[in-house]
Amino acid sequence: MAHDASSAAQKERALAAWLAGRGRVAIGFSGGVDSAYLAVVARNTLGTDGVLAIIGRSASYPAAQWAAARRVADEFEVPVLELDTEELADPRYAANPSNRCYFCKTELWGKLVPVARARGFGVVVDGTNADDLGDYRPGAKAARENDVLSPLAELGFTKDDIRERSRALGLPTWRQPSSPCLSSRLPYGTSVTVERLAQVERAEAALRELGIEGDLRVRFHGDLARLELAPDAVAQWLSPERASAILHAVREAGFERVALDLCGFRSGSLNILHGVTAA
Amino acid sequence: MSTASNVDGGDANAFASALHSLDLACAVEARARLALLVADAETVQRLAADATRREVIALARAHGFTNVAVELAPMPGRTGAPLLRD
Repeated sequence: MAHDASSAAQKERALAAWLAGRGRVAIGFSGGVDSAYLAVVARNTLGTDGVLAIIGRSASYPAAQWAAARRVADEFEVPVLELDTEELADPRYAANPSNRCYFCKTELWGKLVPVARARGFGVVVDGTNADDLGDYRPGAKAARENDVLSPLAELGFTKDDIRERSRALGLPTWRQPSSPCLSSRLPYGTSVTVERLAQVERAEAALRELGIEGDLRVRFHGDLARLELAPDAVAQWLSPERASAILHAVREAGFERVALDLCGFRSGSLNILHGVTAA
Repeated sequence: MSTASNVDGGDANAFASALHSLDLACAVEARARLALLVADAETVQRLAADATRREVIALARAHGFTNVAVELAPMPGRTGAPLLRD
């Protein structure tokens, strides 16, 4: 079914009105599809004085994602503030329970919201969209506890809406794959360490260098890296030459064994594997 | 929203037997609900066929696995890159 572009444009007008009614707005900004779109619409609506995109940086935030965030901000003149977050220092986060994201977002919003308010940004928003509401997302609870609003979800923006309007606005993120934090590559119960996150990040960067595009996750299983690629890309990377190149690249990143998932990328794959379901 | 967790593993032996019936000679290593296939390079390449892959995935699910992956091996005649550790 074709996506309804006129409906998405209508939602964008509603978003601009929503933002205009809030005064100065700070955005939790990762440079992903959703927050990049929200930041650019806010900048276009409120001007550079009315918006501040705030990036929380830590070992779980990929360097490539940070670079993409800065490129969008530079190109669309979105003011950016960076702050460091220390979620890995919280043993409740590092133990990697199924509600890990709650502790991460508690750290993020606990630092970001006061900084925004001190700079005169009375409203803080995030890029949660309407599709996210059906997923298991413990981080959303931390957002609510810190009075962070989610206008994209509130106004009914789906991911397809956001991609459609991002393309219309010329954002390079319009077809960017979803990009959750690096900790999402570790199964629940496997402790999150700087070294493990760096190992996953090195492997994913090496695979991008090989030319793998679209969805890509290196799932950490101790000695084993389980690779998830876009389902339509799996076959081509099983040829002997390409499989050998993958093996070499991922071993260089520090894994002993490398496996290619036959199903390809699935959002929340580790939730499925470990039987964690929303209830 | 709460979560429920169930990490019963799949049946590796029965899955391996089922794969043999498809003429796919694989050892199956069970890691909870992940089935890790260990096979020679020729068998790995046969998994590039969409129909074969679909059959393997369906069999994996029928034997209690949610995920199935195939271990990548060096090309025949190559030993792969050395992995050095302190």
